[in-house]
Amino acid sequence: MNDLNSLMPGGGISRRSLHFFILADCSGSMKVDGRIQSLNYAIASIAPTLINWEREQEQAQIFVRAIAFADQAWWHIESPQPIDLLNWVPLTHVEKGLTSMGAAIRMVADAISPEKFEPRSLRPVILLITDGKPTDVEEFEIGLRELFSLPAGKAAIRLAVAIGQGANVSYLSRFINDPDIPVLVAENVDQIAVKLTAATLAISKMSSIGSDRKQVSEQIILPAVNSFIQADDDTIV
Amino acid sequence: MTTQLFEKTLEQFWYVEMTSEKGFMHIRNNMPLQDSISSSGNLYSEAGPIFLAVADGHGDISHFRSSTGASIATSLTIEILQQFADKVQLAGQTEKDRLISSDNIVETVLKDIVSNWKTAVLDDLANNPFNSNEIKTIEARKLTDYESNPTVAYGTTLIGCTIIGSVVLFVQIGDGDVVVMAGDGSVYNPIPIDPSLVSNRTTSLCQKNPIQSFRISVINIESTPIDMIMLSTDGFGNSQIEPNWYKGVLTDIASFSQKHGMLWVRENLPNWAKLCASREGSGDDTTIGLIVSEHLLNRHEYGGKI
Repeated sequence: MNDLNSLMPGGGISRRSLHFFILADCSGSMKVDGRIQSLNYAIASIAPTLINWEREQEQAQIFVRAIAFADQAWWHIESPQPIDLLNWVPLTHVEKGLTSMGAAIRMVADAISPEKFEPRSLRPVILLITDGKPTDVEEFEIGLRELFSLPAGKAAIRLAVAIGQGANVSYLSRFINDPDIPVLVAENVDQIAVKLTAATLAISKMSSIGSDRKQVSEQIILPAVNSFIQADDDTIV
Repeated sequence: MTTQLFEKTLEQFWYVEMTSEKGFMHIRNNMPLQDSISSSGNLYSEAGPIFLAVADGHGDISHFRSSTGASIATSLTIEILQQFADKVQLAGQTEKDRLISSDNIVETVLKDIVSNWKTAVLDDLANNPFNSNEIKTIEARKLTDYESNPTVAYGTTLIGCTIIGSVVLFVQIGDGDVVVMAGDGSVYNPIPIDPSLVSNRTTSLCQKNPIQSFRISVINIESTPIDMIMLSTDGFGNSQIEPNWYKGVLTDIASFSQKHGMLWVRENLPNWAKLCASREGSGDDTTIGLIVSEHLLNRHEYGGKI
């Protein structure tokens, strides 16, 4: 193309954005068996998977934000961080902290409201990780209503990882709100990274144009759900 | 009065340019070009009604025949708009006012588009029953009731536009953009943007009660002149860095048109679509239809990049 032909009307083009929200439980129980440390390790270790996907797909630019929740919810990463520049600052548990999951869901709903969310983005991804159940049940109900009332909230890919037996899967299933996508249960701390990796692979597949969400669930999430003990990369792939 | 109206309009010529490029992600995933664009009318410096239709077949695997659905949608929309134009051109002023009323457009144009599309799609299905691969897809998609509504396989958006004398009509269902540059240089969306259509969510011709999701707009270009109209599928808009890209894009095209002429625009339009469809842009199928008034080309008020 010569110089004239290379002129493009408007202010330029770019790939679409994929906004990835991590909602991480920092309640008091997350100190049990080193869960919070395992969670930090798992989150840090999924970054390369996402970076590889971003490079291979050449479709979207991934931006990460994170909300932590215990007695309240707060932004751990408020400004969208490009995945390849992500420097994960470890979360710490809040001693005797509650599980304000509802407040966290309300925060993410606010972040993807029409006033704040760019319409051209790919469907946002919301990953909820917890070892309990919401202690702010009323806020949880309000949060779900707010989330599902939003176009981007309805469109979002919502996944959940339950850590240990104390996690209440029924609340997480209501958050996912898709019968094809089960909750990923990490029976012990060793499985947190495995389940998060499965979730990440599922996210990347589901975010691709022409993907079949149900098929991705069957190929990636269900095997990960069914691999209770010896889950490894072979199971995921 | 009607004659006078059309005589005035006959003085204005319109240039129509269009392009459609397969998206990078469609190439990578062995998916067909699912966009479609059709035009009709006395193009290139001939006066008379002009028709343009753009459709974007849905990319989700549920809609595995959406390229056919989009192609059917654009071709039959042109036919229906032509029939509508025939009536408008023959009508007296009072009848013309009735014809271009929203109620009548819903009752005639939109109902015809919806019912004819459904009929044509079902005809296509009767002639080409779902093959074994498609049946496997159907069986895997238990949540989609193909038996009660097989048109889901053909799901598509649609934007239609016609200029009939001094009347410009737009109809739209689903995502994509309709942008107008007025005679005074202002740029606007004649069909309000639907805030619910984000992140690949869209309304569709294959949904229940599609008429309820159609949006329409009628403009009288005698009172509010138009210099340019752009119809595009979301592959274009989703590539733009600027959230409100409409003014910048149309002003630049106006400038290019004045400085280099429509031939230059025609030669470059596919390159713009290719860039948007590439890995540098949305990677999605990208279709652009432009209607440019000769009045714009005869003036030189836009500062350009060159």
